[in-house]
Amino acid sequence: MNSVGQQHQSQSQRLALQELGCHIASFLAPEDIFACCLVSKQWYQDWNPLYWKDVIRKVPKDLSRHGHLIRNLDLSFSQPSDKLARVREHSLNLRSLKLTGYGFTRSNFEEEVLGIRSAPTAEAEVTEEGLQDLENPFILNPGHRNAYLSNTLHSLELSVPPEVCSVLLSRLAQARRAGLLQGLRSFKGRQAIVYYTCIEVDYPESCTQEISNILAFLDTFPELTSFSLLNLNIVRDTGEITAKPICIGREYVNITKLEICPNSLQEFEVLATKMPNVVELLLQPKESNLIPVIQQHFSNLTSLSFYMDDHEYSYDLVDDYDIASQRDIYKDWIQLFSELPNLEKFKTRMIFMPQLVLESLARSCPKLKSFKAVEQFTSLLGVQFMLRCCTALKDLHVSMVCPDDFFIDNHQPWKAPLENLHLAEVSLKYSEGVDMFRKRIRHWTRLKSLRIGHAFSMSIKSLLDSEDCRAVSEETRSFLPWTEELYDKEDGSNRSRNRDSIDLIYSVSNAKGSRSGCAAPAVVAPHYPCLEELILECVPKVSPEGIYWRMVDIMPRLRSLQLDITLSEKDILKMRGCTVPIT
Amino acid sequence: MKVTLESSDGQVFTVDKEVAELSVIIKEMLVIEQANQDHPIPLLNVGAVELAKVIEYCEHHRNDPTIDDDEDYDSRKKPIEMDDWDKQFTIVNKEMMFELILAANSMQVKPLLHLGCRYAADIVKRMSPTEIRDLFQIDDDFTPEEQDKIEWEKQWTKL
Repeated sequence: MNSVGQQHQSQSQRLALQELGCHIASFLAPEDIFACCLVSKQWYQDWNPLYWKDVIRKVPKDLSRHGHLIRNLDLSFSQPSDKLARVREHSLNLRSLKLTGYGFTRSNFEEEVLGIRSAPTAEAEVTEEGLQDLENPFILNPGHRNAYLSNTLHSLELSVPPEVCSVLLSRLAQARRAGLLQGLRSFKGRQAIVYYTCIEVDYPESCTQEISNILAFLDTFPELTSFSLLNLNIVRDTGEITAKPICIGREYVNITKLEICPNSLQEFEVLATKMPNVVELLLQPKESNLIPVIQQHFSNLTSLSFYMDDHEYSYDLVDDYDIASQRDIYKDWIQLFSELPNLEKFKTRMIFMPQLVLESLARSCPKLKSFKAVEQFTSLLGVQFMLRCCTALKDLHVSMVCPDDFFIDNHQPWKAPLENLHLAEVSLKYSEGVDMFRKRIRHWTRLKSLRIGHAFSMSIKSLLDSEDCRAVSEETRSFLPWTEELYDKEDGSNRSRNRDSIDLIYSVSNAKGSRSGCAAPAVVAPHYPCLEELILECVPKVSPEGIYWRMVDIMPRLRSLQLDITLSEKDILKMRGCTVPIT
Repeated sequence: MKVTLESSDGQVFTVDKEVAELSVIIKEMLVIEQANQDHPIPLLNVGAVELAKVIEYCEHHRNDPTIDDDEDYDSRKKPIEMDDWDKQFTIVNKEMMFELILAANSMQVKPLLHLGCRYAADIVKRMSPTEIRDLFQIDDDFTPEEQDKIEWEKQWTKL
């Protein structure tokens, strides 16, 4: 710091940091950013705004100094507290807000969040029409600006109990008409109900939204690009209002993302006809007969999620080989995909997906990148077909048991270039299955993440080949009795039962780059060149320590490893013999 | 087609147009000054050593798909692809890397800027304030009281 040149250099470095701080901070954890704040006064000035930018932590006692720096806020309350007021008054530059409050009542939500000071008397009696007639309540508070309804707010997500949920849309629309929430582009509303374990407690009744109410809200916010309303009942209007032709009127051309839970076909159709530009659709339907509407109105979809609420409504299971009844029961689904050529993501929950549907998906949607089917049965034959044919498929997440035959698949090539694979269970009983599993996984050279929920019947040979096993046994000479099992003919018996995993944790944490066995081989072929995350759950105690060393060798990008013990990124870095990623 | 670039210290480099166009600034300049391509493009904030290094980077990445401009910071949290070449490329001393970040920033070479910022973040990651001070030769100008105050403010935001 003595010479002028050096001073100039550190000055320019500082300027670079200042200008690019936001970019750099995006790679850092809050603790790292905070350490930078403590370096010097100058650094404090540069880094403090970055530290406060995203608050998804506790609300600080005093927000008067830093509140205006917060951009993204994620708040969750079981009961309303005085924190709500602190945020409301001080965080006036919010861009996005997520607020979850199970304990709100209607009056304290209106008071604390919406900032309506004097709640109308005989609240419960106020009807929707009554709300419209009230004199604008938001202006009653002229001295106080309200962060929750700020014009800087771009995205708003509220999860609130039924009694708040039922007035939410009309109250927000009212605020908008009062000149608030002018910048809102994305809205998410969720009904949050706490299900008590105690039986005597009465569950609050689920909230009901009428379709005309939703349309009125959308009319008030014509700039919205994303609208989401889930976990409640959406119904057609009752009585006289139904007579009104609600289908005519404006189209919501800006909306590209819609998440909705219609009670039946009719409500969904009203919205579907008015939103021609939706490309991302999430449905949480009560009935499964909405498919023709999707096909008719949303032919540009890139993303479709279909979540059934309950098994009660899902289709009956159909035999995987019973093609005739599949064709009959699932004709809507089979037809659907032929009309969605741009589909990239498809996600379902609690619907049985038979072979014919998946074949139709694979044939009709060449851009399909992601297929997720959770909490449901999915046809193994169908998934095999997808793996053979979907040449863009990167993410596959299915909740089913995959046996030997699934991976053998008559040794046909799988063309899908998978990057993330998540299976509920893999059950390999024969050595052919084990070898085929390893070959398939190694064939996906871009695979980043492999997660298997139940891996108790997998052997370590499903990831390590014979050369690896030899290396492992050399590495762990002192534990030969167990490593010999690696060469056992019986796949089921090659696990160590005697070795305590605590020993292993000890030896790994003391490794610091030096190994207990022989030195690392000079060059190891990276069989899993991109793998960052390997998580096999429910593995019985496995492992001669050498297995971990070998895995770290053949998986050069590994950051998280879970077998019978879990290794974090830090542990793995230590095993690789470095403390800082780049030196 | 070739383009010539001139560093702040007057050295002239000739590169393929598509290589130079990885820099948003040069790309825009080429559109504006189409007629005037005989003169080298002056880069007043970039020295010859850094420019050579930036060009080396652009040459290697000439065929990469472009990064989206309006990419928001959330998507940056995802780990970016860094191949072996990139790793080799970042094995330079700290000062050089900061100069490169500055150069990439002034020339708006987005992927290199991205790589550099990640490099800078990796340097300070998991370091204590004292370690950072030592590394950058910065004096601690906080009084103990000020330090306590900042710590106190922080405790309310702990996870």
